[in-house]
Amino acid sequence: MNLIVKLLFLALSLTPAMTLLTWDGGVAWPLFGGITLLFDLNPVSGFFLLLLALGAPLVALPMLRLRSARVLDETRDEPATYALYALLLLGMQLLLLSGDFIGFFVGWEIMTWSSYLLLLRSPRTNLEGAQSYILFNLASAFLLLGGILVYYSLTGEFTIRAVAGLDTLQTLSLVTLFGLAFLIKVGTLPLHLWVPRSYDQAPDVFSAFLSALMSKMGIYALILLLTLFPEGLAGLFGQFLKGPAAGYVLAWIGVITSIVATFKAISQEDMKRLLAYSSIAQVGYIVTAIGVGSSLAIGGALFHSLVHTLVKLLLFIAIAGIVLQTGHRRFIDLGQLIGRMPISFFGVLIGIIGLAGMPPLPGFASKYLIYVSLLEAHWLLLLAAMILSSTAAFVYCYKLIYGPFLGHANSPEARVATEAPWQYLVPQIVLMGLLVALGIFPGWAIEILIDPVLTALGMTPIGAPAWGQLATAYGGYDGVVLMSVFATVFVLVTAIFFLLRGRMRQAGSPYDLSYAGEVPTAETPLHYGAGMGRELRRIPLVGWILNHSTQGFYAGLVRQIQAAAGLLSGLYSGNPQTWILLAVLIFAATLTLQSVTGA
Amino acid sequence: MTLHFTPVWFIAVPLLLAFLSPLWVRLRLLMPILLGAHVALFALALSWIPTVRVAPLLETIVIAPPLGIHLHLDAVSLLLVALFNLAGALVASFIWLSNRESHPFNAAQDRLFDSAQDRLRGRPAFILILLLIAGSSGMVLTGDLFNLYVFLEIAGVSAYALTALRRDKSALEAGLKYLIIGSVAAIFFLFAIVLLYLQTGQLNMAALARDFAGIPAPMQALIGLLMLIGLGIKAELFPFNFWVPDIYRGSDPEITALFSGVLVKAFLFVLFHLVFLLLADPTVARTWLMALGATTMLVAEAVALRQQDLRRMLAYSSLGQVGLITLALGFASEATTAGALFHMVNHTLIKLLLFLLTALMLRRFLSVRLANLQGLGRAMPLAAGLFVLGALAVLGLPPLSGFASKLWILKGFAEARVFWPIALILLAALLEAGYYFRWIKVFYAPEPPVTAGQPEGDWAYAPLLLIAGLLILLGVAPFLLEDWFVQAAKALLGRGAILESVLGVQP
Repeated sequence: MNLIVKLLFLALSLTPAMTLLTWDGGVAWPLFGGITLLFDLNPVSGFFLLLLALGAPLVALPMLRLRSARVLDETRDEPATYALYALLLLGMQLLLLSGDFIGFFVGWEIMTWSSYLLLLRSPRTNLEGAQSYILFNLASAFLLLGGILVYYSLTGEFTIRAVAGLDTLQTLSLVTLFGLAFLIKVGTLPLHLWVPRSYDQAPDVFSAFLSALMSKMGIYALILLLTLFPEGLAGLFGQFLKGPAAGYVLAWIGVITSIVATFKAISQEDMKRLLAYSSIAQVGYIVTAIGVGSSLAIGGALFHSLVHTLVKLLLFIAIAGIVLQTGHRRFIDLGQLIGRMPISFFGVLIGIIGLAGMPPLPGFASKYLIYVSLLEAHWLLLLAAMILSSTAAFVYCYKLIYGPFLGHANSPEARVATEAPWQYLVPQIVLMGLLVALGIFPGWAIEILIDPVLTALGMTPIGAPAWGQLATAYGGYDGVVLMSVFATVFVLVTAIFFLLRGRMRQAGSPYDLSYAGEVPTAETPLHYGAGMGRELRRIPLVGWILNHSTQGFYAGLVRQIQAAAGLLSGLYSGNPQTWILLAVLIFAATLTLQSVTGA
Repeated sequence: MTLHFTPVWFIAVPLLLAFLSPLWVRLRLLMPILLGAHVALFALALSWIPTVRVAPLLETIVIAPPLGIHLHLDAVSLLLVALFNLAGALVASFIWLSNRESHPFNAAQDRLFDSAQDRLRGRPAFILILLLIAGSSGMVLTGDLFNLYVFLEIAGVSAYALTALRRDKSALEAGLKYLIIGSVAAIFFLFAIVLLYLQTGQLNMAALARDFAGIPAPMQALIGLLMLIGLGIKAELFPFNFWVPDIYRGSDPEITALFSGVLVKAFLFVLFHLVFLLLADPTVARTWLMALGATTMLVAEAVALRQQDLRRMLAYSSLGQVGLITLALGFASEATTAGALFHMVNHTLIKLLLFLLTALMLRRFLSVRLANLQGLGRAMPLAAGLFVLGALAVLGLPPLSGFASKLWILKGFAEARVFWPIALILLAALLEAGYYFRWIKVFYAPEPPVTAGQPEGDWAYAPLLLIAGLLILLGVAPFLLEDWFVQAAKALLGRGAILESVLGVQP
């Protein structure tokens, strides 16, 4: 019985892949009053559906084992979790396939509430986390609905297609409503409050889904927004340097988001929170690229979406495996897992190389495209800022590999942990393979995956001379050569390491008296990475950023609303005399008012 | 021989049954009959849809001119009558099914009536529900003001009695308060009727509609104000709805479901029916009614944020929805009216679901305060799931029916390019999400639940599952009822058609 449910669940998680492969022809579903939901697959939605098709089964597999055998929790209603996950996938497919705004909204909302209910399944979710998740997402949804209604009142239909002949005010109101809605969803500053909370508190594996796939729906929506206006963002306020002026603002929002989130990530003590802030930062790059809006930039944005999806799936699943096996989430409670969880170690290693955007993995290719597009637009200040944040990201990437895997095990659980179960390892291996393959063949990704989307958006495709090559007008590289060089170096270094290992161990024994002073034993709590990032607070601007958050603002807003509610609830007294008195008073007052004004 | 069906059946059958049933001895047969009456009338209403599409049915029983019973059955009143009977059937069947401890056909129930807790399950409750539905149907069907007043009192008196059915302190207090405020409302309304009669010498609504323009303007305003306050109290509009939370909190949740689902809808209909009939140009009152609706909605949603008792929270949420319906009806365009009627149906279904769930929770946990319902999702997984469904529907999230009706209303506003109600409705929905999701979070809290009462039998869930099924069906395929709602909206707004059909019949 249990096995059948699990198999059924895995089969359901393959539905996005099935949809992608077997879709033929559109489907229409009449709702009422002339509203018809249209569903069809186009290259843009196909690209994002591909991400979903890749990610959904990879997340579903570890979901089969959410709890380790070590934790003797009572059996939770897993079938409910599976059903909600299936609903979530359904909602996302509706969203991606729909050719009209109502279907889009329906998918958007199903996604929102089913993911919220999944979030509640985690015992770590607190009231603030859950409320901020659902309220921010519903605010986004209602802004979207507002935008849809404005769109409807202007065009008289709900179909998603380019609109022409709007004046600036109308365009601006549409762009503002839609843009705010989508920026909340992707979690740019200052609308990101819900992101770290929910990624942190969600069930560990589900965080991978939230970060890797659901944030991409916001990206999809932003790209869709570009298609609404024939001239793109440039139609709004004209050009700035060589890019659209309206996009310049968006690009700065993206870059500021990524800088602030990167510094926040560095100062985190908790692995999942660090990854959450890193997600915000990465999505910030994508937003920047969308702001540039050129063919290279959109190509870069798409490529980076793909890479970020793979990387974040890999990292979150690997971290979930560590949390499952040790029960710890903070860096200072972990350490020395490299020997005990070697596959997870390689997972995280490949993941951070991709995350940092270093060659030879495809994170470099996608970031390179975005840099080049910024160069092309002559937005050099933005380029500098982005490189700053991208470089600072190395620090948290280092923390991510160092904290759990190297150094000294700091908790009894970390000392006895074993490798994560196979449900966690299979997705990691698949993802590592995909990342390496994309690193070797960046041109393939460009030509097969990204160029059709660019063509569909009416942009010039980037093109690639060969599958192994990434080429732009500003230079490129050959993935095969690069990967071979790196692989050779890696093999050489590893070989030398193992050759010299015996001698190194001799030299580096922690019990060597030549260290002098106290000798830390295996039981001494000790973590070389403890407090890393604390020193950042002493840097003038960065310190200011780290010490401030939007939390106070939103908490104040909630307090104000509560206070107003309290004031109003005073009206609802329990005394019938008051009720009657009020009714009569209003009657008398209105009558007097009328006789005075002489109606 | 064919039976002659007339609209009078919707009133006569339940009234007759209600007055006869105290004489009935065999309780075992009586309950199914009382319950069956709602179902039969609901089926009858459905079977009349094609007839009413062609022309409204009129029925006049002359007692002594000018007094008579004049009934007017058109698409909108048929819609509401069907809805009321459905609601009556659902609530009565819920009470009946949760009555039996193990199996619904177990007859050993008489001993249950001894305790005050279970008085609800006795004969009086069913009879009073029947009377309430009869009164509400009468209010919707009647074509003259005098009978409107009579039915208003029938519905009102049965409502007061239903509130005080439990006979403990809080229920009696609520019943008494309800009686006081209800009578005050009735007096206001009666004054308006008297003034109208003095001015025109008419009580027939269509005739009044014809002659209303001839009344001097200050008198028109006075009558309008009296009516607005009288019906505003009953229909729970903002400055007159302070009584609602107390009454809803005091009476049994099963009964509250009927108040929120049936009574309010009947009064809202009466209010707007009169507005659209009497005023040749309903846009005169548009701003006022819309402002009233918007204030009701926002104030109620804001106050609901702080409620700690589930019944009070649902009461405020109900007020919020009434405000939304008022806002949409007040705009008086065809799309918003159709959407508002759809929303009325949805809101009735949703609030029945939520209040009946509250009844189940109350029996299991003996309290429905926020702090006591921690971890309810583990003790009553189905109830928690249905609550989530109801909450999603009331918030207007797809794919549930609340979404379709809200979208219809919003689309109506967008077509007319009036954007402030859209903004307010969406804001109110966000506030509403703020408290509904707080309750949902508490239901799924990881703490173990503290249950004290008895678990309900599974049969009690049958009507709830039916409602849930309807909510999903209407959300996915709202086109099933689309035509009916459009017809109903036309009938409600079609002043000319009513005048023509009624005055053509009259001598």
